[in-house]
Amino acid sequence: MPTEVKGVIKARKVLKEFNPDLLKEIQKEMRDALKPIVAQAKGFVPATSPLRGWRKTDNFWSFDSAEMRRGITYSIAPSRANEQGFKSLAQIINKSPMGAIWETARKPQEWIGPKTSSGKAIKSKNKSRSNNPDAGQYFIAGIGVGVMSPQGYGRGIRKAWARDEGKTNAAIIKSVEKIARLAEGKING
Amino acid sequence: MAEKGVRIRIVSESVGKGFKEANKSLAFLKKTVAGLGIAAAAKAIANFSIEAAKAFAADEKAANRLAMSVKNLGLGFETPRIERYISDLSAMSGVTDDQLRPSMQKLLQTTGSVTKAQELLTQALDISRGSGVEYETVVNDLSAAYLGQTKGLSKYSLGLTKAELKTMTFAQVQEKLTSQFKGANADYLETYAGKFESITTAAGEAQEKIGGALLTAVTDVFGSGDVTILIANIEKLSIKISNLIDETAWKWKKFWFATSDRAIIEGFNPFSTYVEDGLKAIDIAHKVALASRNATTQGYLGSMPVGIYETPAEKAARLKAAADAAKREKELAALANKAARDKAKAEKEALRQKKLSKIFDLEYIQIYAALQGKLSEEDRTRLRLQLAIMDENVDAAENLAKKLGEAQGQTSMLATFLRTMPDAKNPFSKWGEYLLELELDAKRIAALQFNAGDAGSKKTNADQGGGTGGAATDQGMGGGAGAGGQYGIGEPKTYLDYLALGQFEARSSGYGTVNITVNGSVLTNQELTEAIRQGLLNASLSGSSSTTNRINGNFAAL
Repeated sequence: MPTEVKGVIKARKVLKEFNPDLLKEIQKEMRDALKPIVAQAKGFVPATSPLRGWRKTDNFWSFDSAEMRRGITYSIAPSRANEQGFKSLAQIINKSPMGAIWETARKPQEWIGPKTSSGKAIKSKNKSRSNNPDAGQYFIAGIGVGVMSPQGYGRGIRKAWARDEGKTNAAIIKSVEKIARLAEGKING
Repeated sequence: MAEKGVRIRIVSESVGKGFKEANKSLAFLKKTVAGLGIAAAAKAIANFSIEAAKAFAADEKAANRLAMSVKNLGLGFETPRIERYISDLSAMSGVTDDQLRPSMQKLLQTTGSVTKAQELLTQALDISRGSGVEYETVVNDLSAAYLGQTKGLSKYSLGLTKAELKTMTFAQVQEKLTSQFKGANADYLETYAGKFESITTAAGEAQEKIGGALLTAVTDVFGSGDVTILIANIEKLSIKISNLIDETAWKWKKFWFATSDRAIIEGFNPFSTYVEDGLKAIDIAHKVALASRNATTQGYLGSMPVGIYETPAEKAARLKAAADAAKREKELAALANKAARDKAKAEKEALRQKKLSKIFDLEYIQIYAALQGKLSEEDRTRLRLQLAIMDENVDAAENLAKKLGEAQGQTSMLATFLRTMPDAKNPFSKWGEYLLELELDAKRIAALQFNAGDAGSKKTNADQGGGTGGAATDQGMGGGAGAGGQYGIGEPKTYLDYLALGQFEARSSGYGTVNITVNGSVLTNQELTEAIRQGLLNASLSGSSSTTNRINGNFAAL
């Protein structure tokens, strides 16, 4: 679970208005803390496809090592509020579609077989339509085992987060506290 | 909308659950409105209105600028004609009036004549379409060329050098441009790009005029059909829409007045004419505004012509402006000619100075001095070539270089010929034979027995004082057969034969007796010897050579 803070977004705005240079310095500290973990996560992406038939094509699910690496990045800008009403001040992202699949694949989808021409088609969302009933298991076994982290199961950014053991988290929180303190000083004079 | 990708959120802040609800409602609203297209359409209309208003303001500003410029030139009365011309030209050519107005202003300021400026404005269109150069650039180049600066004309590939452009008058330049680019604009407008540009320009003008029409709707309604009809319809529609807006605005003003507090109160007074007077005043003001907006600048107002026929004063002013412009053009041409003449004169003077300076130029002196001497043709050519190079006389230098090359070529040919010539015959090759023959002859002569023969006598007078000897006979040196002598086997043929004989009696008999007469007295032996010697000498000088030799210790008688 992410560390929850209060009033930091507002503090950030205040600091940006009164002392943008100082805010930039703090943001630089946050970047320096996030870069190593992002680099480590990129290193976990396989250079070549771990499966024989999983090659680079025009489809979004095709294996593209470079694309997957490019999709692993970080952000220190306040994000949009999610469904739970939370905005993030710092986050590590794996945004490519195949990267996300590779990151989180853990449990194979229910196999219902290929589509048939006769009869009413069964809805196939989140269902396996492969000719091979064990396709899902083979896929997960082929891409390798992931690691459990405080933020979930993963093979890339979550694996790197787990290995980081909270050091980056602490550094980010320290920077955020600095923002809040400085902004408070500005507000209170 | 859910964020894409897998995320590790490090620090988060809650913005409240209510936000979620509001977010949901807003998303729903956006979706609905987007489905109806209202918001997008309204936004488009608002944007268009703003842009149209801006365009109109900019256009009005440009028009005012041109009007002021025309007025300052003393041609204020020409403003409506100029505006009409620009409007028609814009519709015809697809060039916006935003481009035409500044160009017209520039040309007016340069030429001072509306007619000339219009002519150049039209010609610039053809040049721009034909050459691909921007319209404003073409106008700038024409303005500069009118004033004698022809540097910018080189980009139009007229086939003229810079020197030629400088010497040409503007009329000649204009003629050249016309011959090259005439009809280019008409051809361009036939192309798809040209037609599209025409529609775009017309639509742009409509946007400026009405300031608020929906361009898309107009294009959809009148999109099919001829381009010219579309343009004309856009013009008509824009006028109609602008009238509609005008009508609506004045009606709203009436409504506002009629529903004002005072009007309502006065309405209760049956004797008050406040509301009627007010409405009448608004109507009158509306009519005045309408008349002002639609005032005919050129055409017919009823049966009265407006702006078509110029007044005598306007005509005189126009003719005067045209005459001034023509005069100015002549002055510029005269200035250009004078500048060319001055330049030629200066160059001639510089050349003369250079020639004079050559007198004291050592290098010239040396070359001229060398040319006076005896030189081979090649060296003379070489020196002349050097002179031509120093004088920068290109033609002469080329000719001399060619000549020198030919001479050098001939020399090299001669050298090659001499090198390849076969060996000359040895003139001394026969000498061996000659010497051998000589040796044989000498041996033969040594073995010869010569017989003495009769010899002719020869008398000579020896004068101690300088007597002359007799002439020698032909036989003196030649063959002796005619002398009557017989020499045995092998007659002596050459002097060597005779020399080899060594017998002077035969020889002397061959030549005859030499008598020596001594004038005066001979007293001593010495005197006699001297007299004989002198006589022999004189005889020798006269051609009768004699030799004296001793045989057996005695002098042979001669």
